[in-house]
Amino acid sequence: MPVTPNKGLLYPAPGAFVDAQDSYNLAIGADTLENNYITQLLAAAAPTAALARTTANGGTSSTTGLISPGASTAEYDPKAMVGSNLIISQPATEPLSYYLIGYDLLMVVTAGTPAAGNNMVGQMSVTTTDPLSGITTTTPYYKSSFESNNAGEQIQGMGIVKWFQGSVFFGVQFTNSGGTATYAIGPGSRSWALRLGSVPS
Amino acid sequence: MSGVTPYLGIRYPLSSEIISAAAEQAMATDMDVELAQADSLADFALGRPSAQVNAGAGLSLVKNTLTTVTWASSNSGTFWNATNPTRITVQNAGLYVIQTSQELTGLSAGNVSTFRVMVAKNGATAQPNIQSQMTPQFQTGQFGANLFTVWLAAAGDFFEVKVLWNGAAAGPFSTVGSSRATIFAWALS
Repeated sequence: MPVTPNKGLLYPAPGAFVDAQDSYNLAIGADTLENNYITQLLAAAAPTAALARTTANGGTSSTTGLISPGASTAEYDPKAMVGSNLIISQPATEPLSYYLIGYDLLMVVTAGTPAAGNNMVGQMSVTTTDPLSGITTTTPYYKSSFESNNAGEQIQGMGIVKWFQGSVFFGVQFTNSGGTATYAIGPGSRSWALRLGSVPS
Repeated sequence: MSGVTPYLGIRYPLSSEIISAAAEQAMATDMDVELAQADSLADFALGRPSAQVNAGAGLSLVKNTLTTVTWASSNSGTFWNATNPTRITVQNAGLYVIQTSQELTGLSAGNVSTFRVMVAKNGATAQPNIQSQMTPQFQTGQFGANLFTVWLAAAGDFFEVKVLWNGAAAGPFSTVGSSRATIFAWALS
């Protein structure tokens, strides 16, 4: 039987007797190809990504140190990447990939009065486990900082990472230069991860 | 009765059936529906819904006053129109990236200032529907602030860019006219 030039779909030759088998061949051929294309396009239309948001104050600090976000919810998470406290993990089914990851953290004052010169440094720490060696490493990435003695400030940071299976932790490092304030990461803080593509092997 | 293909449910006549025009029409109709879906997905994959909006002119900022940016033009009529010039409105639910650059100008030495840029959803002025960044303190020249935000949006949700300047000087100071924002769909849900 002849086939179409592009996708090799079977069809009856000119003048041949047409029966149900011909229709079946055509339907099955188109069905298989179309399903492949739709599967690829669905992956492109909904790429691996996650967006998380805190719902309550998390972690408190009145001295210099790293504090972490509190309870969080997943705003967008079709691949089940979001854990607790804004932590995001790459799905186990994904290959080694590049991701654009970032955070937007709200600083609140839970007690006391901030003093001028207090330095806030947002950061995210990526923990990766090499599937070949099994070695786990944690690296702080993409810090962003400013000085402020105001409540209600927000700090952002983002960057591209090469990511094995593992987790990303988001937090804020305070350098408390004075005053008696106690800080926390407030509700509405966010973390996110957008998969850019696979790392070439 | 017609058979159906295993993946997309395209109807086809069984070997025991007499081929009829109705059977061929059913198969053609089912193929047509699936091709239309693939076409729509391909449009998204190749060119995600997106828009860029431009301010056109600088915005005067009164000290310590949160001010909404008014956009003057866009390269897309889908997300923005002149009726609601401050709004970037989403047509299809999904995950969106919104980025904006704002610049403050006219400052002078000795006048320490801070500059906050914010993206707000549906008119919000507080959490959880704002994302923002404050710059480190600065004094002179022009100062730019970039903001990159990720949002889950429903159809009809709108986003606005707001800015706030504060500092030692009395002001006001202005943003430059080249400020802009870009929105694009990362994923449609």
